[in-house]
Amino acid sequence: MPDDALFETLRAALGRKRFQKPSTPPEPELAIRNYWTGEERLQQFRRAFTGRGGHLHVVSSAEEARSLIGDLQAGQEAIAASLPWLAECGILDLAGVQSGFTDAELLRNAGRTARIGIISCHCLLAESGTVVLRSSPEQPGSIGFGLPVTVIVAPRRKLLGNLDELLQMNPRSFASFRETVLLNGSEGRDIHLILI
Amino acid sequence: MTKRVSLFVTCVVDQLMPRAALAMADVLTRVGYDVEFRPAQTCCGRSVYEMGCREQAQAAGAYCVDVFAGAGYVVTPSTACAATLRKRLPEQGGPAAAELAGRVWEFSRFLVEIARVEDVGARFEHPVVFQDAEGLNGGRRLLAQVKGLRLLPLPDWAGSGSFWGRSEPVSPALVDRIAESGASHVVGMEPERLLLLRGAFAKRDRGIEALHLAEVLASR
Amino acid sequence: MSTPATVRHHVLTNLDHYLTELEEQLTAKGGKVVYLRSVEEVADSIELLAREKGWPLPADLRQQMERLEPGVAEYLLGGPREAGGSLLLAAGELRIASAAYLIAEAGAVCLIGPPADGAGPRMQIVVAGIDRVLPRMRDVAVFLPLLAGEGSVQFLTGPRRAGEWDGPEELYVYLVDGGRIPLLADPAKRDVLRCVRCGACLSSPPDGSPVVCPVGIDLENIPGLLRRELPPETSGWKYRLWGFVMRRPRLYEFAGRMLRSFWREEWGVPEPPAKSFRQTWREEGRK
Ligand code: SF4
Repeated sequence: MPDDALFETLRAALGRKRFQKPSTPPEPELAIRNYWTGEERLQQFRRAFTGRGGHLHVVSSAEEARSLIGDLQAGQEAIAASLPWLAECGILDLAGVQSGFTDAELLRNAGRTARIGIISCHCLLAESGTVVLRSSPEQPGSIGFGLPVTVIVAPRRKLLGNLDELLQMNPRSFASFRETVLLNGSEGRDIHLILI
Repeated sequence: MTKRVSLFVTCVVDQLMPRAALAMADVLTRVGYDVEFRPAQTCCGRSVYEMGCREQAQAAGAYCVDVFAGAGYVVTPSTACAATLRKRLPEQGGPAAAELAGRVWEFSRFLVEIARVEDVGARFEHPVVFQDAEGLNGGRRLLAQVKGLRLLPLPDWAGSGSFWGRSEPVSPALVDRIAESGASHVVGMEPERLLLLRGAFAKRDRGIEALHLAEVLASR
Repeated sequence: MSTPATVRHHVLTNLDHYLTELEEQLTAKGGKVVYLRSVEEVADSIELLAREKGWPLPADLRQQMERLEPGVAEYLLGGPREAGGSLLLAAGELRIASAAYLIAEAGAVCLIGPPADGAGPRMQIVVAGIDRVLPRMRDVAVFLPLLAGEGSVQFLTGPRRAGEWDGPEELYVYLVDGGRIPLLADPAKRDVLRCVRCGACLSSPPDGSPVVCPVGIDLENIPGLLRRELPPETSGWKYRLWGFVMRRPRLYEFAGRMLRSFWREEWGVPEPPAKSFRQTWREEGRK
């Protein structure tokens, strides 16, 4: 609802005309940490992420990741996002892991019995220990935020320095997703991040 | 020639913690000043200014200008009231207001910068923590010369509460941190903060006292 | 190179442009933008909506709205304090959250706090003052650290999309004027709206370090800057009476004596001494 009267008073207050272009906005000063080595990033991330109650598992192969998920499941049901990456790692084929829901009803039903949600992330921010998550048809929020235990599986290359770096690389990426969540800490859930 | 100072005790100290002003008068006398108190004085106007009423604050400021006309140095135990007079009086316009603004001094600054003393011959044999005031370091320098005084560190003063405008009590966590520091006294330079601390200590029965810097400097 | 202060200053001086851009971007993705004059209008609008849907609302909705969106003046002068946060109503069907920032270019709303559980609410309302805009997503890198602390952060760009099974079916962004336009009109006061509500100036400074406002607002002068926008009683009889008393030392002394004898514990300060300074001074015969 464009509110003409309000905009009139607003423009009058600012002394601006209709459709008047703004001056160039000043550039934000981004703190880019591209000099950090992969190892430094990992250390930073570990400190911040585990400091806020997250569990971090660094593994060297998809096989290790699968067996770790088996341990975490301990016989319990899990539901997983239908992401190519999770399929690649063979996680969608594990026993007791359901995925590939074709409608909301099926997902809801599966969510009732499952205790674990398995997802992946857009990237990780080392400095703040943040996991950047995005909802999509393949990864609905009911898997990512609905269950007591969340397992996030990601390759190590997703580890960025900080938000500044993410926004510098891809300034428009947030706009193309309906929801982006910067998950800082466990927020009272059991969160396991498996880095391969 | 005798040196003169006029006390501006502030309404809060006058009514609620008179010992701070009496102590201030003692210390100033001890370092060689003739101390006067002009009983016409009331408030600098900060309380209503902080609540957002500039009109009455200015009226109070103008009244101060009358009260302290020709008084020489005006010394006050409140950092905040000193700042109010120094910063807000010139905004009122007029030479008299600006002139008074220039001779109002906060107690610790007056001692260090005008009287140029740091050792006032005080003795105070207790462990204390000191609540700094923004941008002033005179308090620490004066305390450093007090015999027997042990200054303990307390880096985190978050939760010290506030008084006018948005009143807010001292956080219990701060009381605990002070108690854990091992200090028997908190020393400060801002009467309102000290009052809030006193209130919090009394309520939680922690056996700690909050004293104005002047009270410590006056003790022997 | 810039600081948060210059970015905020730029936004405020071009606010109409950025609001228009924000609205275009948000509506392109199915969000709805509504402009409202005051928090009361926000509460009215929510009540209307709830009545339509048959949702029950809490009795203190208005107070809750004031907490979600205290105007800048109210916030800086110590009114309701919880800028930020969210409210879940009608058994989780409706979530009302206050925006930390609005990002014009991305058409995004930035909320601070844990993400909604599971599929989330059916309807999401985001309340924000019209001043909360930032030009681009990149600005978030600089501005988010001023607010977020330990909490999680969400960016929303619209309601549920085709092919998605969860997320709100409707996203409303309520942009509230709440007395900001008169502040914008006065260049001396405009900059108060740079405030991002980090709250730094509202807590007492830690040991020795003066509070520095991240967007360069003259903190000491806030009451002065906001004076005219205050509720009318600041020019009311209480203040006039105060001014009257303070220019009459005898009346002042009497009032002080009254104050001390009717001391109440809730004031949070210790019981006052029996005698004021001036009484003691006089009785000791000093000049
Ligand atoms: S410090 Fe500045 S930005 Fe933060 S709340 Fe205070 S005025 Fe607003």
